[in-house]
Amino acid sequence: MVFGEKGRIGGFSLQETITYLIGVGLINNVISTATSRFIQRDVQTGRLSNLILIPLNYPLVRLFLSLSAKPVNLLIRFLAYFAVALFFKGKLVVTYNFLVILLTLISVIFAFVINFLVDYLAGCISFWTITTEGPEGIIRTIKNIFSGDYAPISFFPLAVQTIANLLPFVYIQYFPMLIYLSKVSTIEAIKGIGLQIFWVIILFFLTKAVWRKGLKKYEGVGI
Amino acid sequence: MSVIEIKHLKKYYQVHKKEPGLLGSIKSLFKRKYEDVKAVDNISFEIDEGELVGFIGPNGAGKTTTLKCLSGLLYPTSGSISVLGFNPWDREYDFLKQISLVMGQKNQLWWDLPAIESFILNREIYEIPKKQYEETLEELTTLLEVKDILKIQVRKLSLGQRMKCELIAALLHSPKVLFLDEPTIGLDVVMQKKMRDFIKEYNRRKKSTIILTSHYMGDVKELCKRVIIIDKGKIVFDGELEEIVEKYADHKILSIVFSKEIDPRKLEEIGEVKEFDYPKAVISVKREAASVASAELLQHFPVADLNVEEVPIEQIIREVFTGQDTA
Repeated sequence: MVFGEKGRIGGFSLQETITYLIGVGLINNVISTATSRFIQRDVQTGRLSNLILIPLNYPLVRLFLSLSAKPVNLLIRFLAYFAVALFFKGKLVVTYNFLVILLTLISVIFAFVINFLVDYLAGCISFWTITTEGPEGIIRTIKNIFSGDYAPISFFPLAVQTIANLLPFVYIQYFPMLIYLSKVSTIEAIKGIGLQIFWVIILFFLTKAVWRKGLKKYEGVGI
Repeated sequence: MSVIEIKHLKKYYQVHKKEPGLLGSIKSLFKRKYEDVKAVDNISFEIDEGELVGFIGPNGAGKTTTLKCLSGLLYPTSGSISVLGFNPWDREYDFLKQISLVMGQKNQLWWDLPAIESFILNREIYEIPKKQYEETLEELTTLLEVKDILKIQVRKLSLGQRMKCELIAALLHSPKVLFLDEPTIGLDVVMQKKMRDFIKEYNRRKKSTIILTSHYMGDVKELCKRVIIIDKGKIVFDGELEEIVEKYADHKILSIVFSKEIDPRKLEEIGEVKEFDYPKAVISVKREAASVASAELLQHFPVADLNVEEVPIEQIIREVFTGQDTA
């Protein structure tokens, strides 16, 4: 039994761990977009040319195109998760604390923005490498590890935890789940949301700069 | 007033050359030879409002690259561009709403939707007033005869039908400056003619400035007073179409039909024999010697018919590109 004598690992009980793993999966479905793949395709095929020559903001076009695919997609996923949850009845942490739910939702919204910006940055690589499967795969793996997609960050060695806390990825999945599981106090949760906003600002300006630089390299091939 | 102003525009692409095969691929991982391709190499020109300018040159001459720089797609390596007073690269909405780039290989239309849906989307994007939109659409669809295909998924249209719809999509917002890259590509002869008439009419009526590239000299001959010839990234000629003939064609063509068998060797004395297939012959002579040559022909040969012609413009341009003298 991995969960030892005290029934805990990395500060998580079995019940919390199950909730965590289902939770991060759900969050992943809510926030994930195909943005980097779309950008890569737009650059590769030259379709980007059409989209930057109309009087619209391309990043926003991409954002809303991603969002437009969400409702139907999520409806199906939610049904699947609901079925899984029924299976684990009584083994999941369910909270009715309004403040916890509200803070979780807010942090998921910022998680979406951070994730979108990271994806956007990954997509920008295609200006330099044309195909992004390689570098994008590396980024995705790093993101999955440090965002706590595979397991809670507290399961990892201390060194990994330290690195994780210095990266924005931890705010994509791990942090919202910590709020939901009441692993952080209200004050810490609000502080963490502040840090999410900090990362949004940093990533926003970074993406903007990389995007501009990439566009200068853009060759508008294929047309 | 010049609407388009290009000064010393350069656009270089960096490419690396890979040797063929697996070994070449591995080699290119460690040692790469980069080369600058000078797609556009120091060109300057100005275009006034309402002008319809033909932009011609062989494949890879830099025509499309120039159009892409003008529309704001490409960032110039150096030089300055001004279109309607804007720097195209900034792609300000006020600029984008006044231009349009139509390219033969570019799909602006949404592939999975009928064309009409893309038009409606464009109406919203460009904030075209409803009345203006309906009038323009009616006019364009009638003129290009596409009314019956507007509700068919774009992917199911033929190339020609799609080109027409692309053009409509590009013109709905009545752009002041229009960049047309190969607008008649894939169209049948009748439709080519219609498209030309349409472009001409559009230019006349809206006073819009149009730059057009084409491989069909017919397009250029019929539409453009002024042409810019570009080759290997440099401007070879910029001026009126007729001037090309004067500048480059120092020869005239004599086509003769003989009434009796003659000795073809004797013809050589008149000028360069291009073709001889009794009873027809084609001789090329110096421009200034044309009249003397024809007089001589009439005097010494049994001539049934004689025509003095200018060298066809296609040929002149072809020879300008290949760097030969027109003969």
